[in-house]
Amino acid sequence: MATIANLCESEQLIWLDALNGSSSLPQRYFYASPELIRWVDEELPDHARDHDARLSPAEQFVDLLEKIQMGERLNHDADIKAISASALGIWEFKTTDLRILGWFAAYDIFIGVTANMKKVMKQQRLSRPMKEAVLRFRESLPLDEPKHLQSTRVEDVLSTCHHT
Amino acid sequence: MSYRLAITPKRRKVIRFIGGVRDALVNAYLDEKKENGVTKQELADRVGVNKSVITRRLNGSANLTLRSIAEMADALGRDIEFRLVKDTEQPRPSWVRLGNQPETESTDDPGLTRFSFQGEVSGGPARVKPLEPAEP
Repeated sequence: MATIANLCESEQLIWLDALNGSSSLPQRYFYASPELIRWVDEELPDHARDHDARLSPAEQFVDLLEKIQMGERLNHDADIKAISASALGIWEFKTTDLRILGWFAAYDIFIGVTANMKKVMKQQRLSRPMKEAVLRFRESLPLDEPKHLQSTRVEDVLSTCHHT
Repeated sequence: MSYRLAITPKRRKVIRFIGGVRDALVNAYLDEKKENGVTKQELADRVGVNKSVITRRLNGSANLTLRSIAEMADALGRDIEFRLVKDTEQPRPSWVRLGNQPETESTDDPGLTRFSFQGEVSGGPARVKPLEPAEP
C-alpha cells in the first residue's frame, strides 16, 4: 500500500496545481487520475460553452480549481455535493457546465477520477458509469486504508463550504 | 507527478474576474436566502425582471452587464466595492466585493480554451501542450 505522495511519484495520481507559480500554499488539494488528466488535456479544451454565457468549460475548470486550492468559499449543492451513500463516499464538484467525480481521501484532499460536460452526462446517461469508474479506480489504487472519508456531510470533508 | 495549469496572467485574470463576480452574486443570494428567506421570485420583483432572468444571472447562463450586477447587488442589499490594485501589491485579484463576499466583476469572454499543461515530476521535466485557438 502507498501514500498519496508515493502514488504521485509512481504517476498513479497527479497533483493538479492551479496556483500558477504563486507563493501561496494550497488550502485544499486536488489530485487527479491519469484518465482525468487525459480528459482535461485532450477533450476539455474542445468543449464549447453550453449554459455558461461567460466562461468556456476549460475556463470554468480553471476557476473551480483555483477556488478549491485557494480555500475560497464553496457552496454545498451549488459547487459540490455527495452523490452516493456515505459508505461509498463519492462526491461531485460542479460548475455551470461541468461535473467532476471523485472522492475525499482525507479532509480537504480530493481525488478526481472522471469528468464530463453536464449535458453529455445527461444525454448519454453517464452518471452511473462514471460513479462505477470512480469505484473501480479507487479499488485498483494501492492507497493506504482507509482510502476515503465515509460521509455525505460536506463539513466532514471540506473546509469553508457553506450549506445552502 | 504534478501538472500545472500554465495560464497567462491575462487569461487567469479574466477567468477569475468573471468567475468571481458570479460567485459574489451567488454567495450574497445564498446568504440572503439562508438568513432572511429571500427567494429568487422576491429578488426578481425587486429588480423588476422575470424570475427566470434571476436564475440565469445566478447560474451563469446570462451575460452580466455592469448595470445588471448593480441591480442585483441593490436587490440583495449589498454595496459594491470596485478597486484596481497593482499586481505587485496584491497577489490575487479581488476587485469587487458585494457586502462581505470577497469576489470580483465581469468582462466578456476572453476567447481561449486550449490548456497548456506543464507536468512537473518532482525535480523532473514533463510535457507542455501548446496553446491553441479557442472556440471558433
